[in-house]
Amino acid sequence: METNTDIKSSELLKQIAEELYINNLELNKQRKRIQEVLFQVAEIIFSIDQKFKIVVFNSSAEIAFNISKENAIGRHVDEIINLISHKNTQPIKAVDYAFLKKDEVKKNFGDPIIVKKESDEEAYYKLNFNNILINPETKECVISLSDITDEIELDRKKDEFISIASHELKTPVTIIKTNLWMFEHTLNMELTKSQKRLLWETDEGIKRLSKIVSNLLDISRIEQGRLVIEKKKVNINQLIEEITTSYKEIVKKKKLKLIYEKVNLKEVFTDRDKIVEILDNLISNSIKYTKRGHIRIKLFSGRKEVKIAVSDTGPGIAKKDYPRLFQKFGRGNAGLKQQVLGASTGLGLYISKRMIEELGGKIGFASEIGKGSTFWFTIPKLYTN
Amino acid sequence: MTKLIDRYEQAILLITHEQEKIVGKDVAMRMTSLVHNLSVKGDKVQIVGDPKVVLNDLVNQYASLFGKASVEVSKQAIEKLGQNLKTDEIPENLK
Repeated sequence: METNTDIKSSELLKQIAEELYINNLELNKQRKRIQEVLFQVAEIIFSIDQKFKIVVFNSSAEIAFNISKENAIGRHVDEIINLISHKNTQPIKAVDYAFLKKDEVKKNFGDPIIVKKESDEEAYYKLNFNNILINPETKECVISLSDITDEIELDRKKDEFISIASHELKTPVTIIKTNLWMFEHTLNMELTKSQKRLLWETDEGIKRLSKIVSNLLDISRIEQGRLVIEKKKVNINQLIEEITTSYKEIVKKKKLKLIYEKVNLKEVFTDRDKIVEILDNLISNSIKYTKRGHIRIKLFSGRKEVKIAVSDTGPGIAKKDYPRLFQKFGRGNAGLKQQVLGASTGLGLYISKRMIEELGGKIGFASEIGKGSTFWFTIPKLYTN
Repeated sequence: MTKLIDRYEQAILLITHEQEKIVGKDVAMRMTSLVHNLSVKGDKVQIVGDPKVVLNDLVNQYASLFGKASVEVSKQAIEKLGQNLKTDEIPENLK
C-alpha cells in the first residue's frame, strides 16, 4: 500500500523528470539551431576526433571536397582532405596542425595559415582550427577553411603593380638625383638664399622619393622570393656607430639626444646591408615620432643571439594599432598624421620584419602611450659561414 | 498510399526517434518497452492489436513521466507524416 511519503516522492520524481525533459528539449533546440548555422555558412567546417576521424562535415565541405557528409563521417581526415601549404608548397596533413598549439603551427606554415586544395591549385583558403575539450578524456579539433582566393589574387595584382611601378620609377629618380648633384657641384655662380632653399627642398624630396622606390623594390624582391642574403663578418658596434653618426645632424636639429650603449661583441656573421636597412628604419621612425627627449640604442649579447633595441620617448603606439604595425602599408594613426612631415609608406617595419626573418632572427616591440616605444630585433650569433 | 499499419508503424518510429534525441536512446527504449502490445527494435516495429490504441499508449507513456512537453514533441514528430494519417486515425492525445 502506498503511503503519503511514497506518493510525495513519486510526484517529486515526476516533477524532476518533467523539468529535465524541458531542459533537454531546449538543449536539443539549441543544438538544432547551431547545426543549421554550421551547415548554412559559406566556410568549410569539419571536426575531427583524436583518431583524426571526421565527426562533423558541413554542406560547404561536402561541395568543396565532393563527398557527402554520410560518406565523410568516420573516415580519416587525410583520406578526404588533402591540402598544400601556400607558404612552403608542402602537403599539410591534419597531424601537422590538429591538437597542436596555434603558435607552433603558425611558425611552420605562416600566419595566417593559407592553404590550397591539392586537386585545385586556383583556390586558396585561410585555415583556422580550435581544439575543444569535450570531456577530460575526449578532445575534438574543429577546422574551418575560408575562401580567400579573391584576396590572394588581388594581392598578387598589387604586388605585380608595385614591382612594375618601382622598376619604372627607379631610372628617372636616379637621373633626377644625379642631375641635381651635378647642378649643385658644377654651378659657377652664387645662389640666393631662396634659391638655396628651393634646391635643398628638391634634394630632400628626391631623397624621400628614392627611399620610397627602394622600399617598393625591396617589397617586390621579398614577395617574389628574390631577396638575396649575403652574409659576411660584421662588427655590429662599428656599424651602429656609423649609422648613429649619419643621424647626428637631424637629431641636433630636432634637439633630441641619440644615445648608444656599446657592449663587447665579436664580429657576427650576417648581412651587413640588411642590418643597416633595418636599423635605419627603426632609428628614422623613432626620430620621426619623437618630439622631445632621446633615442637610445642598446646592444645585448646573449648566448645564441644578439639583440638590438631602439627606444624612444615618443608618443607611444595605441593598442588598436598593434596588429597592423608589421603589415604591409600598416603604420599606426600617428604615422598617417606624420606623413606630412616626411616620407612614410608604412613599408619600413614590414620590410624589416621580412628581412630579419630571412636572417633567422625575430623582431618585436613594446610601447606605452605617452612614454615611448622600444623596437627590437635579434640576429643569430654566428661567427662562421 | 502505404498500408494503414505501416503508417502507424512510421508514426511510432518518428515519435521514438524524436524522443530519443531528448531523453537519449536507453531511456527511450525503456519507455517504449513499457507500452503494451508494442515492440521496437531499431527500425522494426511490431504492433499487436489496434495500432491507434498502441500509438495513443506510447504518447501517454511518455506523458506519464515527462508531462505535456513530451506530448508536444510527439505531435511535432508525426507532422512529418503529413496527410498520411487521417484525422479519425489520429489518437485524441495527438490532435
